[in-house]
Amino acid sequence: MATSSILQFTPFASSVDAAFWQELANKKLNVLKLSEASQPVYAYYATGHSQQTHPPFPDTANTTSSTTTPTTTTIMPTRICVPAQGLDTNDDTRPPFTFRVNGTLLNTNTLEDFKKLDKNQLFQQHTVKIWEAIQNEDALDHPNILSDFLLLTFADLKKYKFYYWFAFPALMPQEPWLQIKPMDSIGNVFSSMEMTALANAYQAADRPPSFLLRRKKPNTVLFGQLRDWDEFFTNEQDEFWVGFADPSHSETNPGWPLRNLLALLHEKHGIRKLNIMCYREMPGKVNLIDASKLLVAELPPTCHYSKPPKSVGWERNAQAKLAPRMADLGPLMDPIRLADTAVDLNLKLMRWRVMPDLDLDKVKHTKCLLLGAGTLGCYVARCLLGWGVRHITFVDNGRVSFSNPVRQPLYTFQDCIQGGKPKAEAAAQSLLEIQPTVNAKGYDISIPMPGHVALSSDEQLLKDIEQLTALIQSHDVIYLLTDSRESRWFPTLLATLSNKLVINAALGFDTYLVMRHGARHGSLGCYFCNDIVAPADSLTDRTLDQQCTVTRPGLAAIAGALGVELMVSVLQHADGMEAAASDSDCVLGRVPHQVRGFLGQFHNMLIVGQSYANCTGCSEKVIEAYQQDPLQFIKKILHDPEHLEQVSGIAQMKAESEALLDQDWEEDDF
Amino acid sequence: MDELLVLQETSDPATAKLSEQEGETHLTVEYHIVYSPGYQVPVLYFNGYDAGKKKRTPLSLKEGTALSLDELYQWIISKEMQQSLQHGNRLSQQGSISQEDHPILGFPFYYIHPCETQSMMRLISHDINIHSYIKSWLSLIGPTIGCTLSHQLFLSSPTNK
Repeated sequence: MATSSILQFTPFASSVDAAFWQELANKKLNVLKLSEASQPVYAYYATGHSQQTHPPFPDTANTTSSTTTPTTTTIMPTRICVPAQGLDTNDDTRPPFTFRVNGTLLNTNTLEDFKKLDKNQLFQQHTVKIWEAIQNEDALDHPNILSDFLLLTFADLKKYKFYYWFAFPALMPQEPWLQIKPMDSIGNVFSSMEMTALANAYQAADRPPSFLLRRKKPNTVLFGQLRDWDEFFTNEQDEFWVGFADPSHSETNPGWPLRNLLALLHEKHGIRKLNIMCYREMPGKVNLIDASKLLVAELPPTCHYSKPPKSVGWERNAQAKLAPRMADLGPLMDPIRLADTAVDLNLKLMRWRVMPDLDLDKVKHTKCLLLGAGTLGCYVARCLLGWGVRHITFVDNGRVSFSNPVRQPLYTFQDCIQGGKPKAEAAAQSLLEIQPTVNAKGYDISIPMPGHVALSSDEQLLKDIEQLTALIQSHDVIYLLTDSRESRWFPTLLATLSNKLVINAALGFDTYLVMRHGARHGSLGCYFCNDIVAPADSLTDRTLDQQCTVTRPGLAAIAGALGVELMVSVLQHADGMEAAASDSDCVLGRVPHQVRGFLGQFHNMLIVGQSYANCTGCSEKVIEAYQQDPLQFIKKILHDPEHLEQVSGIAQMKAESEALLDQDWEEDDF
Repeated sequence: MDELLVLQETSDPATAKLSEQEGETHLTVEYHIVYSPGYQVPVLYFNGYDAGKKKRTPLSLKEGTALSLDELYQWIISKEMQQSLQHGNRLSQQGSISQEDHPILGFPFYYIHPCETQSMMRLISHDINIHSYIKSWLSLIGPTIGCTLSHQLFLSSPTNK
């Protein structure tokens, strides 16, 4: 005697089309607004099939044909899908050979309301609905009422997150249905001729979710609808089955729709024991029903359904808890995330199509500090954005003036009025308007300059020193884009101290210099290495045109762009900052030390400058003197730039050279 | 999601437990074939969704979350295509992957750019006719993004439509 076990049913696993959430969001915004009235919704499922699955393509490069790929039997969850048009119940667009189920959607306005919903009551109401459909025979005419479902949702339209909870109420008898023996394959009981006949009859009957099957003698099967029970029913074994379209893929368990069907059969026809056919079609081959299963279900004696019966059917989340699920569609619906993805995709395309060895991630994660938010600063920032750089900081102590917007492409007319916005902040704000996910900040700091006595207190000077130091230390690349020689001195010192890559761009009327500073202890020089005079005040007492450093307008764009491209090339080079200038190449090409351009001739030159042991900007002597007492050293230099010449050793060198000239050279010495 | 949201339900021995293996994650990928009037060829659009993770991490609540491009590369896009792209194979017949609004649904979808489709189909133009065009096209372009076709589709049999 075979032992009975409790008949277990595979629950539904919901799968909602992302486009459905979009439709719900639109409907809520435009139609529902604050209404919490319930909406009709529909879903569909297909019959299951137990199929060995394997990945669509081999994981390792060694496997060549799919027949040699090891197959694993993965039982897929029993899917019930809500399509994009699920809210439009007059529509019935769904894949062929699927079964439609109707449901009720209840969307709340806030997460609190969602939490506070009386879920037990809603569930109970739905259960009663199904129970009544069984009692008044509605279910016989519309058998899909047995699978009617409930869907509670909360659409968070600010964060594009959708909380949702499905319920598929299943009526429970006082004690569970049993199965007499394990499920059997249809092929063990029916011949292939019988199966073909059944499949054809099923198709011809327009594929109902449940049906009756009678076999009178071998090879003759009679197919009937549920409402034709009286004509079909017989107690003889191997003669009568109730079939249902079974969405389950399991080898051992039938799907959820069987539960309420059994309740119907018990209530209407007093059934306590029954042959069940779990009808399963091969996808795309509807006349192949080999995967179908047979089972015998039995209700324990004297057991009934209470009136109304208990029911279960809330869907569990991925942790198997009775809690709602959440779909995060930010990446597809949030315009800011979309912008981010688009920029990334664009850069990736460049790499894939043209230069596969380009290390874009390295560029993206480089933090850039721009000292100066004028013509050069604006063009540099724009090019950095184009390369996908996401961290850009501006330092500038000026305000946007009326002549700026035409030459400094981050500013608009609005930035100029009422005295003008602080430039660094305005530039950062402008970047955010271009790419909302960029990390852009602006700092209003005055850079200490040799020859310009600090008008502020010692305290403020120390604060400026500390702030600049912190900024330089926390970034990877420092751009020197200010409008004077002396303003580049202190940042050069600090950057050399921290061994950061410095890109220096300077403009004349129609000439430009774009260079990278050499590494600390390296052989390439900095901006000041070729000088034998310390930087000093070049700004005071200048005429207006000299102060504004008027340049040909296109120059800033050229030099700014070159500065960024130079940086990227350095980043791509295996040696980075230490890359030699002349003949070493990176994947993008050369990595020069200095580019000097002459717009008058549309010509540029690549120059290499050696580092100078007596440099006022980057030599070890100056750095050591600074480190001994930063505040006092800077104060002294601001007041007396010639002191720099002493410290760096230039003064001594000049004295030695003069001494040589003073010597009397005997003719015989030559 | 705090405990307020967890329900108590009648215990039910008749609900089968889902026996999902450890470390398994289910992904749902949807594919759409849409005609491109500009290129006059079909275009394959796709999106992937995460069905939720087993582990209890803050991210584990996200079920039905759209996969990012990196995740698509990890799970869906075939290694062969990635290699061919990496080696700068300009004749990559499948074209490159990009993202845009689905022409009908109006919702962002990834897609395989159709610029190479015509030249790809020309290579086999002598072997196909108008009725088998979509099948052949899909068999060439689909596998790169995990959309495989059964070879049964290509065997001539009376039941094939």
